[in-house]
Amino acid sequence: MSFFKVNENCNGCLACVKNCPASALNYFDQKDSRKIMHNMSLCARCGHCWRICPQDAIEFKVLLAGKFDLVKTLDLVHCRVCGEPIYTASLGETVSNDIQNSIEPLCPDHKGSEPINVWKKLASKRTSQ
Amino acid sequence: MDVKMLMIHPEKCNNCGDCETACIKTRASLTSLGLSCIRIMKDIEDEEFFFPIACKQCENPPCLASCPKEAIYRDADLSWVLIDRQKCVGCGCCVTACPFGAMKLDKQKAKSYKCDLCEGDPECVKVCEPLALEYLDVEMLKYPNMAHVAGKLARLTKP
Repeated sequence: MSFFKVNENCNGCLACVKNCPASALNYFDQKDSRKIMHNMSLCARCGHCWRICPQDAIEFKVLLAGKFDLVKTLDLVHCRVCGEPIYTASLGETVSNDIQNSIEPLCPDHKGSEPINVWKKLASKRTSQ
Repeated sequence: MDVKMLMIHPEKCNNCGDCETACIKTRASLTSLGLSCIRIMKDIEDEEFFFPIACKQCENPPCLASCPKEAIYRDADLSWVLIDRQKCVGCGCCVTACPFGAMKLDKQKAKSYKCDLCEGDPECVKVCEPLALEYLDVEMLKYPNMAHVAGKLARLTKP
């Protein structure tokens, strides 16, 4: 995850906390320990903390790398005919609940078989009469 | 106001693709033929049988039922199923729900689109040379009519 990272060089001098222009860094001392906190929604990513840190403890580059974090993995449903991924299993479930009917796993290009079958059924009914 | 719908006679279709081209021309945002609202489907078993498919304006539209934003509605006067583009968020539920593949998703604009009968003046009907497409009063396209045409076709294809 590309969050704000501090490595083991940090000695807790609080230079970053005092100098952060956005007040995105905070600390509290509790019994025997000092905890340093960072608030991602306040952080303006100016890099000031990284520039001033005497210990080079702040790894700010992860915030500027511009990479995507994986947030969710879902199962895909593929078209029965061509194998093209069409929708997620979860979306299919939502839709089939909404329309109270099952959905054929077909891509828009291959859904055409449905009306052709209806047509053929009509035709066979007609000729059998 | 008279309710008018698109009537398709698959047995007359000669797979020329004029309807698809005409459909594309009505929408500036569409650039490729595969994105037209009307598509000519080919039967896998019967290579001589073509089926132009556009929105059927279903009685109980699955697209309408599936839309989580209530962006799909039935026009009270015309009884067409239409999309409110302001409300549509492009989730693709209607595309998944439509059993005919008549719902399309504009991936760039993240909006669904469908046949809106060119607001009452369908271009595909104008260009269809074999007259496989007709724009008719809804009274004219009753189920027995369809069955009759289907029967004629069945007699033609069977030896």
